[in-house]
Amino acid sequence: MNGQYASLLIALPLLGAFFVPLIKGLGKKAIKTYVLIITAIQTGIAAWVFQQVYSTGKPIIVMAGGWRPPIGINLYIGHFAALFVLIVAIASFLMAVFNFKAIDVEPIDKYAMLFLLLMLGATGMIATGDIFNLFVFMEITSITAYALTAYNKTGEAAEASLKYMILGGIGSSFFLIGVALIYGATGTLNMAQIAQLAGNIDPTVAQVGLALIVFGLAVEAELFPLNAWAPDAYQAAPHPITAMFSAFVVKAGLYAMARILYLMSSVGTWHNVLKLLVVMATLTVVVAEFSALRQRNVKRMIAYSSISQVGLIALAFALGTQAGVDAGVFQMINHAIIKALLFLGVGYVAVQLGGADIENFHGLGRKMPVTAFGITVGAMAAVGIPLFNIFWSKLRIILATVEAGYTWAAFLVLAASVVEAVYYFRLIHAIWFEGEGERISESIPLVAIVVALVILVVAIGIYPNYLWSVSQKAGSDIFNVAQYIKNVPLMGVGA
Amino acid sequence: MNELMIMLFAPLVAGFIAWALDVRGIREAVGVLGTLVPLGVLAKYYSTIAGSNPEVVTQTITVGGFKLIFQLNTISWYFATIASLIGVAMAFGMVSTSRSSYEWLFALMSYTGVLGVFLSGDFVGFFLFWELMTFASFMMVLKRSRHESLKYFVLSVIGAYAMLIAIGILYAKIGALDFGTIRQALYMDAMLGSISKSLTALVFLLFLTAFGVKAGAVPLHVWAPGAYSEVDQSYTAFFSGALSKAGAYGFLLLYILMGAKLVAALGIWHNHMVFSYIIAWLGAITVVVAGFLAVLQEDIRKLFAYSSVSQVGYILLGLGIGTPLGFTGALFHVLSHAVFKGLFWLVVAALVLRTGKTRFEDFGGLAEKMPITFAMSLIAVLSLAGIPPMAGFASKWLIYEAAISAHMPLVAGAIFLGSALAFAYVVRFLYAVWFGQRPSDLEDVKEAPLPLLIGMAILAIPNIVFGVAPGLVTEYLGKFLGNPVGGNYYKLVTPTGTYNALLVAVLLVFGLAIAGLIFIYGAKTRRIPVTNTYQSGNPVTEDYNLSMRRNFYRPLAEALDFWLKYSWDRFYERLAGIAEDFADFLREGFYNGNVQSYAWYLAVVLLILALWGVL
Amino acid sequence: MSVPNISAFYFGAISLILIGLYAVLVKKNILKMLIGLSIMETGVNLLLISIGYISGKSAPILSEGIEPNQAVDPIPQALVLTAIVIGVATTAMTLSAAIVLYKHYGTLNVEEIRRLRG
Repeated sequence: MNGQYASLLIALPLLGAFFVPLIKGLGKKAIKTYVLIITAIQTGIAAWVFQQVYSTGKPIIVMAGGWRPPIGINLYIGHFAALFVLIVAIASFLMAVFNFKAIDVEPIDKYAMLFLLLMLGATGMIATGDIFNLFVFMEITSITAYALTAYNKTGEAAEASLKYMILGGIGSSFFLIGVALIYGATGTLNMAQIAQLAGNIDPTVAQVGLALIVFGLAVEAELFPLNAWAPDAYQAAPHPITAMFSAFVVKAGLYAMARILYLMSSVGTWHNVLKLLVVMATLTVVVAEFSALRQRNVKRMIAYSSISQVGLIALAFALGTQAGVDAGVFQMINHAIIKALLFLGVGYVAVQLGGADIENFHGLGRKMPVTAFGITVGAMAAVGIPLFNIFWSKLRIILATVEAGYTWAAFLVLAASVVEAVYYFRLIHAIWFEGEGERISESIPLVAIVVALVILVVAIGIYPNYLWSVSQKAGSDIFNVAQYIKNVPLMGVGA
Repeated sequence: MNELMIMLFAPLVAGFIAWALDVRGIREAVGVLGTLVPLGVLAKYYSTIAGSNPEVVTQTITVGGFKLIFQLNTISWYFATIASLIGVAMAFGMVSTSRSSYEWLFALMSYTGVLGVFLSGDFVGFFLFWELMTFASFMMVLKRSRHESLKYFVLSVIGAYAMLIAIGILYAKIGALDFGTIRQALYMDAMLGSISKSLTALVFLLFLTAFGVKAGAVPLHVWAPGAYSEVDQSYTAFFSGALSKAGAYGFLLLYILMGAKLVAALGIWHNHMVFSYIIAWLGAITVVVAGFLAVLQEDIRKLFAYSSVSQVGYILLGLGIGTPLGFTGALFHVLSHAVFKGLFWLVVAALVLRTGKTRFEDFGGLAEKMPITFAMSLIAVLSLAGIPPMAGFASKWLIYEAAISAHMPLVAGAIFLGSALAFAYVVRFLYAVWFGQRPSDLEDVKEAPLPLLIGMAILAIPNIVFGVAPGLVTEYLGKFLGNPVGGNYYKLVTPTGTYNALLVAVLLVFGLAIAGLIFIYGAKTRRIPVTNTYQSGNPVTEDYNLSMRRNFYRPLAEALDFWLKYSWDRFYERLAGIAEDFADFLREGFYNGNVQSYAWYLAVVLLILALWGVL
Repeated sequence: MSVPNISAFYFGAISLILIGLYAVLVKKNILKMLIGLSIMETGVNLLLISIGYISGKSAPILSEGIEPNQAVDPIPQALVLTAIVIGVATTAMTLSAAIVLYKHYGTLNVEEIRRLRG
């Protein structure tokens, strides 16, 4: 089949979102089912693309309108994008199932639209090969994210959304300045061509441009101290959306950051930017873990945990070594699974018991045993217990960090991990060994998802080989810029 | 799949089956079977390992891009066999004491973890199983006590992460994770010196923390008393008998992998290797401090918990002496501590099971009610107190000899003091629990159930066998330590002394027989009123009423008053409190809810970018 | 046609950005902060245009008498068009959130809108 069909990955959710108003009259359930179907198809396409890319070993380049880059905008679905588009689709699909339970506030049709657009934005950010196109997708993602954060219509939701918008707005403005500078210096917006020309441009301009782009993306990627919006947004957003934020929206920002970072690796002062990022990422981990320690609201606690894990991924990406990038990608996948599981579980508890405060988790093991089991596995995995998936990626990241010479960063990160162990420990204890409760019946589809994710977590924990090889390929897709340039059929290079 | 894998994962799989089925009877059967498998495999390999030309059994698997190496060599066979012995005894004990599939799962999981630690031939596997073992044992404690498990967990995690960084540093410098390569590279580097002294010292310190936590070396021992007390006592047999040995094994590994490099980097001081000297003193301090604390306990679980800490101190001390004789003693003590302390904990398990009590003041006169358990505890007491012809004496004697011949008189003094303290607390245990007046509510106590007795017997037999024939152990250990101990199976000969275990045993039996005859035919019994006990001229008042069962060593506590004011426990708790307050400060200060301050953070970052020369 | 030096545009654009940033950082009223945000976005757009501007050339619209090499760089203008659209969307979103906030909190003072914290 023709690789150009991969453009369906963008087209399907976009068209899907536009057709939501048509089925508005059919009722809530119909709209939710519609979203479910669209995400299922999207998953199918993504799986096909994944299979294509990994079996041929060649990236799929989609050229919009048949224009060859750098004139036309191209999508670049390489090993990383194929993998992550699949994760986006799967996570969206799972959350579409969760929608049936978790979303009751009207207007559902708007929600469905935004839901699909959020998926679209993240997919686009990951797949695009053009830096301004990236900006557009980033804005699609963030505007839908703003709207979805405010969706619950409470004061808190509006507050969180407003915070997110102000910070995101500043971030994206500076991102745009960065893009402008890069464009001014290279005369192109195509990522491959930028990479090609990066070595020749004035290092100061390149550095400033890169720093501004990284600054803008760091707001999306929740790096300290630009992440102050994140806990609020995570807490206030509807539960499926929180899971999506953590599972892929933030990852899309991280990926974009890593991609641009490595594209510009031939810039002379590149290492300064890396050092700055290492500092920021390490601080992200430390501050977020400490903030989670005495958190009474479990959803917020897991939000902080998510931020810290994201910091860990950013640290891995900022090391500037192949080992670091591979480990970062590995952690990205594992983290997506874990956080989907945790936010699903916690969200479900919050829906059933009316809130995510820690008091509701007392005796959860008796009230909702399967969900409680899922949360427990997620928590233990997040701490990095062996036989669960994060153990491997965390180990990889620490080894890569020390290998890259940032022993102090490894120290701080691990010290913060001790804190993480403590608060997850408290959660597990509250779930199983405190409080009493009557059994509440749990919804079958959600239980099935929880069990499936738990199995996935353990399966990767016991047999990480396949996923590790996938992560390595995806990692070298980001790290190996020369190959990236070669893969994009640039027309009249340098002209 | 080769046998090493089967042996490694049989307990884990059995644990999962027991947990998932959760049917009374099957659960226990599967559990016991699961623990027997490793022992069987190890027995099968005995001839390969200990034969005339020993081979190393190796198995390599690739997981997540890491090459995990498992090998069965002389040392790992020794440690694994000890762990398996205790594991089997634990399983029998748990048949009687545990009613929870949760406990079976995690007990067996920790068993797999311990075996994995001993068999690993590379740091990834080592770390993985180390974490697994920690996690599983933590889950055991979690079930009973939130506070103690948290303490245990936090210290363990700190230890594990310290180890991880040390591994990372070694990996960064050497580029390999398997023991063979690391050992070779560090051996070479001892001469080249490309890894700086301070970095070597850092790695040493990190490993010291990691293994010290697990071995319960003072001042990292604070988790041990609580954790050992607050689990199923049959499991404690394994916890204290086998799991804490992982720490000792770690120290041994330190010598094997880094010995030459550490000597080169840290130097030699008065004919002692500095790093080794540090370990020896760590052990000596542990022996004495934990010994004193054990004496002062009123709860038998706490007593044996501190006693475990103290006894593991002997192992560190023996390793720290750093001579082949010292290693022999230390490794022998690994065995004897495992068997006698395992036995003790099973006895405690029986007591708790049958009486439901743990404090000295509630016990008394149980020897008539539980005669077999009493006999077992007598063996354990003799062995722990270091009375020949028990295994405990042979190993302590070897450590003592090693300390003397290595010219470490102060350390030898610590051994001596530790033994005296051990004697003091086991005597109290022996008397207060088994003899004297029986409280009325213990009248219908029954003998321990059969599985528990089997478990005890499994551990009691080695105490006697290796006590009478200590040469069995020293000869095996001599294979890789260069035969520092001469003699035959029944006689140990060191440069400074000779111990003929058989002769002592024969004399002891002979003496006991004579004493028995005298007792039977010549003894006059005299009735003593209950009030006539240990007053020694002190007037007895309500609040200063010392008896074997209550506040027996209170005068000692008063004498040590000054030292007991300082507690590591409180120190760590204060530290934890500070960390929590810091967390609040950070959280409320940074995430203060005002979006304008958040915008300022962005502005500040921009400013930093500008100032830092990036802009 | 006399056109000021290109650096004047840069100066103006950066001034706008800084003025906007100032409003966001200092003004306590949410609406004023949002206005600041908009000003900042305008500044960024202006900057983009200026980068593509070549002194003395005409708008990049294909018309009689203007060769492609006589026009300024069209790409930044395309970008700015997109950015303006995005900016409008963001502004609309922020303002609607501000309305909801006022409904729930009864204030627009940024220091009082901090229920989510810590």
